[in-house]
Amino acid sequence: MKSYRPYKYRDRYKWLTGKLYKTGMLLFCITCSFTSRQQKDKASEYNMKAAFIYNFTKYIEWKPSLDENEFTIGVIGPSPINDPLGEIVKTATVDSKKITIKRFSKPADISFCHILFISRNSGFPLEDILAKTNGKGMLIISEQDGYAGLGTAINFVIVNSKLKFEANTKAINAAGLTASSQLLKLAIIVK
Amino acid sequence: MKKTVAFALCMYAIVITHLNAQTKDSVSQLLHLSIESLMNIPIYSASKTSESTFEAPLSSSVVTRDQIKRAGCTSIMEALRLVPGVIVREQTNGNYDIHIRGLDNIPPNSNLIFFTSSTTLVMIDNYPVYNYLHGGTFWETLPIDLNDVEKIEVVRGPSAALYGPNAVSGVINIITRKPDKEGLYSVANALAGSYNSIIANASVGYKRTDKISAVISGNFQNRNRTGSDYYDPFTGKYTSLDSVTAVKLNPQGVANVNQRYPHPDLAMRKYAVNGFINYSAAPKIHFSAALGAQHSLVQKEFATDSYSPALTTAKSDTWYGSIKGDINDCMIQLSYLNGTQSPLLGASIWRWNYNTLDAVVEYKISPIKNLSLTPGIMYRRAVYDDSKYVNTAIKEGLWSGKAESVTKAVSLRADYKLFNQKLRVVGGGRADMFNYPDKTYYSYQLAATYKFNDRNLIRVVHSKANRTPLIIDLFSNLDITGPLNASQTYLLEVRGNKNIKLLTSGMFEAGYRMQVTDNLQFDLELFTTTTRNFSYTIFESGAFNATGPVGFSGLLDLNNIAVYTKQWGGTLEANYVAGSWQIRPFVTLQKTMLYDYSPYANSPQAPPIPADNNNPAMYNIYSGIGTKIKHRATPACYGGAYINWKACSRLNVNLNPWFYSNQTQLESSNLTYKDGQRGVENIKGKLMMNAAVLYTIKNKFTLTLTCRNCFNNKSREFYRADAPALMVFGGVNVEL
Repeated sequence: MKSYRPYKYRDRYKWLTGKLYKTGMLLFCITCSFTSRQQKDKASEYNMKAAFIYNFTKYIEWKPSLDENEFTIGVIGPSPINDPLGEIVKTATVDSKKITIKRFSKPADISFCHILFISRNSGFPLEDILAKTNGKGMLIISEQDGYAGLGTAINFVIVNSKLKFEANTKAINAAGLTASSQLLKLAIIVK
Repeated sequence: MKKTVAFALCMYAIVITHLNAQTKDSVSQLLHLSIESLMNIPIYSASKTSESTFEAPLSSSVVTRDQIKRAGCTSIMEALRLVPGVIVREQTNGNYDIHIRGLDNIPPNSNLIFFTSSTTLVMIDNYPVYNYLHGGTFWETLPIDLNDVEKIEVVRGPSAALYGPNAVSGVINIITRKPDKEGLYSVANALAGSYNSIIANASVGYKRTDKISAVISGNFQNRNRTGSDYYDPFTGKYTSLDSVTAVKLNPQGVANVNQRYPHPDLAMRKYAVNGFINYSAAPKIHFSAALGAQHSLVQKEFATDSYSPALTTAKSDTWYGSIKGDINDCMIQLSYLNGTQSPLLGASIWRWNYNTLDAVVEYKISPIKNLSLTPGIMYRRAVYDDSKYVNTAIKEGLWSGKAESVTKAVSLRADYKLFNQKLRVVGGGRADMFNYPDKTYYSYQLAATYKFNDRNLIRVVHSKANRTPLIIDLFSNLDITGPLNASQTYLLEVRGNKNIKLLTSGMFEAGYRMQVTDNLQFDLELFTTTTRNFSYTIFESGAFNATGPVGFSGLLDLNNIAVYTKQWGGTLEANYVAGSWQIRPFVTLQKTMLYDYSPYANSPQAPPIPADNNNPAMYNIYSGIGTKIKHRATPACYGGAYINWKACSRLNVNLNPWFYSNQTQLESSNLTYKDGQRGVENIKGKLMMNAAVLYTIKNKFTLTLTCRNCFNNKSREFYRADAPALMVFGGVNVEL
């Protein structure tokens, strides 16, 4: 009897810890998979934005730049677009030029890049960013409501769950760039 | 144990690798696509689809065509159950009583016509379909149906300054669908279900480039009642139509009963046709026009007379036309509605022709950066004419002639963004001048949002709004006569009041929206409102005459009563999107108090009658001053959820439960019988489950199986209305 009781308790205890451990593992796996799924969902929007940005390069007449061997895409502010852009850089080129990514943490750091993507999370006044980029042949792309009207060349908008883009032709021209009529035909033109 | 752990880790590694592989693949795959192709790929992200509502300065919600379809809603009214802050009670199959944040059944112990929501502005593409007669909406007369709907926007709280008068408790704006792809398209859907319910919609649209598009649509609904009995207020029982005491008393006999109830089993039969044209002459010059007509015959609750139970047959035939032009920064809208209505079919005094004309011109200017100002002018004329159907010489009709209410208004809206667009201030002011009452009413709205960062936004709103003058309040002009005793008659004169004060509501609201992660968003709003100047039919004076042919003559008029209400409440909505799941639960908790309420509908000058305890000087509309009671007709808790699972690209499963807590509606006969039974509807709190399964075949055909009230909860939702029942619909949707 004496030996039976401790065994029984030990058995129960083992059963319980085992159960807890299994549940914990399951929760861990679910959480991890879930986080991974969230990342995937986030990426799908930014995969699209990255693909759009890459596509835009084909419809813009770029000004000659200092480094003729590189095409630079800048990103200001933390953004999930960095990952898909990083993927694109590995395989794609623009006019046979290698693509490089520059990341800027504040407007003062901005140096020349062909395309500058302003992250929704940048948190800096748009004026400060535009002051740094005006007339330098940079295509400014944003993703916030009304930004095209405020002077960015291209602004992503979502209409009926589909990604569309606004184009501010004045801003494109002021940057010294020319957008093809084919591109403008697809854009929502903003004054 | 080790095996289990190893297995779990392996599974985890496989899942993660698989997902990462998917992500990489999708980027590289997308690079091969053209911009045109990319623009047609839907993206899934909670943060973006809700971004516009995230930044909205007012308490607002949007329910889209896609959500309505996935939820399996069978009508526009039912779709409003997907919106937070809206109370939707079924009266009969397909007919609903709809209130935003309550303000219903005020004053309590009133006639049925005062139960209806008269404080919500309902619009289709920004033109009002509000009914100026009594302030409500005849939902069955909406010419459009689900097929025409792109989305439904609901704004909660007084919003007259931004949307026009009548937006006292809120605004429901139904935006119609425009063709979104070039060429010809057609959409048709048909649902057939319980109680002989047939709902058919079809539309054909054509879009030629981005410049011009046109749509023609038609809709039909037939729904039978879920029960066959009617409520008899004399006996307090539900019985067959022929056995209802009021029906048996009808002096015109069976012929008139048949006129009043041509189809006792029918809840709704309606059909309509609409045409829409959109033309873009230049990038900033757009024109649109709409034209349509509808016929409807329903049994619902609206008003009663001496010979009808609570349910009556309402018939409407209306047509409308609307044109709108956006020319650069100028917007011009003209809309016209014309029709004939008989809300108590077979009762001649309840029949009239009516028309409303609305004209709005607005011009948007931006004097400085980030500031836009929109001044506007508005003209509205509502004409109700019953002279064709009644003998106006003896004041037989409700207003016995032509009643015309004219509103002229000036308005100014401002939208200013400061501090790098973090602070947004939206303000509106409006002055409404009416032919009656001869007084200018000012309404205003001031809303501010402050965005701490991309994920946190706080907002405050302060607003005041008034209801438009109602035809019944202004122009009632009816003489009621009957035998008083063997040799004498009585005469009751019912008169309108052209100096009536308009119902006015003021609100303070604070809100907080938080985007916790890209998948999860919370929206909290806390509000308090004060509403005054309710109106009711008041017994003003009367005199007995022992000798003349008229033994008693009395005067009743439409007048303001002392009661005012205060509401306190909050609505919380969460939206969670993960993979193929979307879960959007919402709940409103609120409390409504009535101050200075008196159940007596007479002035101190009225003659003594039992209804005022034979002492009008003590028991009258003012005798409640200083009192405070809880208003029980608005539920203290109500809400629902939208739970959607895209099982695969073809299969979608949706649950949309809806619930409310206990309520008590009080009708005027409660004061007559005072037995706690008659005139009292104790509405039990309930949870109603709705479910829908959609299966798509070849992207063009979708099969629908939808179940409303899955648990077959039969507890009544509205005073003496039909008990709801389990409804199952099967249908097909075709998009070509």
